[in-house]
Amino acid sequence: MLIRHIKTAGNSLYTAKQRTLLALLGMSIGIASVIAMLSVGLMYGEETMRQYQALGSDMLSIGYQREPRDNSSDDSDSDRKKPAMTAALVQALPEHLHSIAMAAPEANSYAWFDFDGTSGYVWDFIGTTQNYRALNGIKIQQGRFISDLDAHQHTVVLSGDFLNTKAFRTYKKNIIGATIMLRDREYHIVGVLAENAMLNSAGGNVIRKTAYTHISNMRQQRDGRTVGVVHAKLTAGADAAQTAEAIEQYFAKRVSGLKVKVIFSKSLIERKQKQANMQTLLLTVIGAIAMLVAGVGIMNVMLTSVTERKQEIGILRAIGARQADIRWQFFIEAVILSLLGGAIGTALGVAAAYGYAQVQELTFFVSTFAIFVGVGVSTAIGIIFGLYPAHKAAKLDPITALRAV
Amino acid sequence: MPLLNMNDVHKSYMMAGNALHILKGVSFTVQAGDMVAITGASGSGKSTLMNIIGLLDRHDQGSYQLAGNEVSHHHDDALAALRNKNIGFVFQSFHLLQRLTAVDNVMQPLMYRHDAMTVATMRQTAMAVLEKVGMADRAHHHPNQLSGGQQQRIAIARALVGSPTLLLADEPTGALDREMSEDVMHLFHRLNQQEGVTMVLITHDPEVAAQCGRRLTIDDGYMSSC
Ligand SMILES: Nc1ncnc2c1ncn2[C@@H]1O[C@H](COP(=O)(O)OP(=O)(O)OP(=O)(O)O)[C@@H](O)[C@H]1O
Ligand SMILES: [Mg+2]
Repeated sequence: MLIRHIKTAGNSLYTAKQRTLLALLGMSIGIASVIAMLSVGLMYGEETMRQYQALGSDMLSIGYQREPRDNSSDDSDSDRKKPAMTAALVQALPEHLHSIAMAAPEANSYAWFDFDGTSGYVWDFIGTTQNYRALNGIKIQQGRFISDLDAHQHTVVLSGDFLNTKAFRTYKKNIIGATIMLRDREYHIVGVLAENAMLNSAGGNVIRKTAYTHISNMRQQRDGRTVGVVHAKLTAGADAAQTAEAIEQYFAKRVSGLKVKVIFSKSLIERKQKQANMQTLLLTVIGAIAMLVAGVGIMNVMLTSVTERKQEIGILRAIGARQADIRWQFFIEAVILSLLGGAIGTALGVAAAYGYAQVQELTFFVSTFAIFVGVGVSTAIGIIFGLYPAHKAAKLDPITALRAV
Repeated sequence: MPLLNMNDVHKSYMMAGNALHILKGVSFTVQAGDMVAITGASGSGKSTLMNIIGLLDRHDQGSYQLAGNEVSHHHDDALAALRNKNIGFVFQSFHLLQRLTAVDNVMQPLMYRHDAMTVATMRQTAMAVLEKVGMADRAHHHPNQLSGGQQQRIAIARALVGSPTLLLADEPTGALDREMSEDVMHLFHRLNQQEGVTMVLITHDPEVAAQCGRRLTIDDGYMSSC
């Protein structure tokens, strides 16, 4: 009987081609966008995780511990000098602690730049040392990175996206060796990073203009600190907890009142993973809403179908179809519609994700989760949103239905 | 035992809060093999009665026995099964499914029979009935490719395919011209006389009514024979 119902459903769906196509269109676009969105989200998540893991779980960063606020202090409090890590102390860190293989300070600021008559904003103007490159796995496309020999030399390395700005595109001469004004001082450009060169300390890709110079060129902040954060790497086999304690003592002993906080990349990776999970959850929720819309579309089409086919329902009832027969017929139509829409949508969505992955150079994979969502949810939609129209069709009074035109 | 036995059947409709009493106590019987014409003024309740006979509608009061069984309080599914097996409907406007071919239309009642008949057997049965009504050569036409008279023959074939004990026709010739209508009446006569199909048909046409063995008239909610 089920096969007959499916055949009948197929026949009537085929007869009402236009309606069927519209329903399929809505459904497949809904499912396709959800699948594409989910796949791209998951691919980005994987990519970020891969980059993080490539950095190694032996990375750590050292920052300042937030001081408890002193209530009696007045507004000038922020101008008071605070205990600070200095570049020299950071440079000496690996010599004093065997568990640290390498360390680089980072002073973070911003700047206006002037280049060849055009000016603009540099979001991150970073002062650091040579090790910074190795620690962050930075890729260079032209020239070189900042070296320890650049101390007080006013040399600068620019992120790749500078090259996309008009001033640099129209600059005819070699950019390496050219001068750029930063914070009203003349700097010599010695290198340009590859686009997508690294992960910055905040955990995202470098997606905004960033310039690197030697930390000796950076001025103190108002609180007397130059070094904002320190990037470092554990020696192989070093114990994380012990190292953290040793680092805290190292700074506390040398600068009175200096309390630092050590964060390991391992915990960063875990945090990132959680963030990625949240993102997936969010995408799933958005997806669920899109599915709901698709489902309402199916229901609308089925209700229209019931209204348009009242007479058919009446005829079938007159020749002996039971309510259950009518219910099944309309129900199966809805399920077929949503399954078909789901299948088309899944194919389209995967194709779109594939295309996007190609363009963005992400590693493409077909997420089983996305497929599950596509097939599972479209079946569920067919069932949930098909029930009511089918019920309505079954409950029609045969005579009223027959009289309909 | 009569095939159909109605006793004091009442039916009223609610219209704008008022009960519209259409059937005020209809009693009559039909014997197996009868050919009965029901006439009456427009709005007198002929179709209403026909729908009750055909188990598409329920009466409010009175008894209705079909082949000796009281059907007044049957469950909806039981009524559907009775319609499927024991009753064949022919409508004034044919009521064929446009999306199906003639033979597929004819086999529809078998599709809802819920027995083990294969589709191939159903198709064979449908073809045999199409043969009987002289429409075998149009089996694969869609209704909109057929004339009114031809469509009515297909509809009659559909009504007959399940070998019903009772064939009901509500103004079967109402939408046909004279020639086609005579054609359909011939077919009815043949089915009644050669196959022994019991028939109840509603008509406005005195000529059609005259051709039936018995004539009943509904007037003011009551049934009388002329
Ligand atoms: N569902 C309904 N609700 C309210 N009134 C109805 C309903 N069905 C029929 N009626 C009324 O019942 C009366 C009888 O209708 P019916 O269709 O049985 O007449 P009829 O004898 O078949 O007429 P005709 O010869 O024109 O086909 C009419 O007055 C009609 O308006
Ligand atoms: Mg009528």
